[in-house]
Amino acid sequence: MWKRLRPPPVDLAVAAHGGPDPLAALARLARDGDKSATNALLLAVTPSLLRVARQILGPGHPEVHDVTQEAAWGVLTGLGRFRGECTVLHFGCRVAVLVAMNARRREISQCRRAKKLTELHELSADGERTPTPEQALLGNRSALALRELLDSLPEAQAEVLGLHHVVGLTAAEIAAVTRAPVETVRSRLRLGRQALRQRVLGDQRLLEVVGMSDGHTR
Amino acid sequence: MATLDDLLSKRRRGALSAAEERRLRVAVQSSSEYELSLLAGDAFDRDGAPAPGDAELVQRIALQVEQRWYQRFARRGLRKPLPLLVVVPVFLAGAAAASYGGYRAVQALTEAAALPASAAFAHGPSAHPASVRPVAVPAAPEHAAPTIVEPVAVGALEGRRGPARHGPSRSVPPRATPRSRGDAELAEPSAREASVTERATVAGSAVVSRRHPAHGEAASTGVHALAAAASQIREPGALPERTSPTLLHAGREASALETAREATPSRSEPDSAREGEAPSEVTSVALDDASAAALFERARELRKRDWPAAASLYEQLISRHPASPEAGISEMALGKWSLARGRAQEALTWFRAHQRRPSSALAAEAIWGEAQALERLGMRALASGPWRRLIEQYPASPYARVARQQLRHAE
Repeated sequence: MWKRLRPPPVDLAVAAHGGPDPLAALARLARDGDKSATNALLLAVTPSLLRVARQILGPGHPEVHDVTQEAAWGVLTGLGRFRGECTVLHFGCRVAVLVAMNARRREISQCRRAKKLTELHELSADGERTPTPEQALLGNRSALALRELLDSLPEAQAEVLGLHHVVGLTAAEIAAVTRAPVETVRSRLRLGRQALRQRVLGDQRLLEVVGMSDGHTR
Repeated sequence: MATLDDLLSKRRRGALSAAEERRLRVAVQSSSEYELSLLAGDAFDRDGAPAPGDAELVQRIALQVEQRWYQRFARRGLRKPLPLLVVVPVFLAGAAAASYGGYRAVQALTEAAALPASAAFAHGPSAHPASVRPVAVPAAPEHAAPTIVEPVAVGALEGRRGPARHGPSRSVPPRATPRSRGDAELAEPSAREASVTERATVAGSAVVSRRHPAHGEAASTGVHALAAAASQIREPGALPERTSPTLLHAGREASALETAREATPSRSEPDSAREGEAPSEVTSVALDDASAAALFERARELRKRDWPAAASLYEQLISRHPASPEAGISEMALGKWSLARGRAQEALTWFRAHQRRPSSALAAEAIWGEAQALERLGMRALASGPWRRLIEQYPASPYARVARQQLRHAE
């Protein structure tokens, strides 16, 4: 067994402060096939990938493990193309968002083929926490609406929406990760928010709670 | 100045200043869109919160990905000398072929320049395949074949080159069948056509189509019929990819069908293109002899696309190899899947079945699953049993901490 490096403590908050990327050196070594660096990088990145997979699929989704594994594999294979325009962790989060969104879309298309859409809704709802307090109910319903939006919006727009609302990246970070201009990202975010509102307008239960029936703002 | 979207992100990281917090609060109170965004963000944070057993899960995922990664590196290392072994001979062969072709072309040009114009015309392209061009055909006799072109093709058909020279006179038109030229002139058209067809089948009916439209049509019909017949036979995935050359030689549908049917294996192979479907009888037959590891691997691949089919495969694995370690993992997978789909009773059965195993690394997870399934079924009193077992048997595990909370909550 090779020597295992201790992965540096890293989270999105640290990565967002614009300092040197603590995982960049590990990523370079891992790309060249260094075993200990690969192990350390995976141990550092996988918790974030797991978190993103849970956020997009729902915590009780049976595919969370597989999606995380695919995302970790995607991070390793993508290191060759990674040019350091963003942090390794943000790069990993983007990979996880894309893999999880693909899993959801694939599942939906399969369910449509098999006319089992109701089962999918049951599955998605089952992954939610039990909505007892009003705020939790509202948040969970919004999160559910957002997940459905990720399935239906164009991929570029859904990616930006997922990176912002699900992962919690700022517009500048999303621009660096996706290599798109910041204004484009903001525009996509605005369109995504409008789409979310349209989606929420169709949810009578949510409307009653939020009181949005009389217009854009309260 | 940060936008409200950025403030939402910073809030989730706990990095808002007091001024930014005030600004965001005003925005959220005045806009339901931002309120929805904020609450959705909180919900996503709750959903993504670490769960018990995450450390082990991360270790396991990292290990699996690492193994796959090093296999890839190993394969890449093995592949390195392969391109050299292939590229060098291919390059040498290509260079040799190019040299030979160039030599033939230069030779043809030299000979054409050396001959007088009339002789060059009568020379015919058959002598120099590298400079093939259409030959002007004089008025054909009454019984001549419909169109005769490219003697070189005939040479190719017969496996030998055409006559080197037709002589300087243009009175003798170039024939399609240099070997049987005299025979063709003497024979009746139908007999000649038959002989042409017979010879053409040596190189395939496509050549006949170019030379004799009538025969070509017949031959193409035969080819289409063959293709249709082959596709019908291939439909179950049975006909081998490489059709026997005799099929094309024959040009007769009946014999082709018979040959193809003879070539059809009695049992079809599993079709990888239908992996997404539920396991068919064919798949079941093919998996009869599969080991537990193979079944498990196949189910693992299948669950990415089709969970119900994977679940069926897990059940097969459990029934065929009940003592294997893979069967234990399959029970847990089925339990978790059933629980996620709201089939708590089914999940309970799987989790309890797993606990009956003599030893298991996933025993704590199985007890945890049993407790959750009982909670889902509304049997809170019964659920206290597995919660207590977790505390007693795995007091240091993260499960025990949650179990204590659950018991306190129940009391």
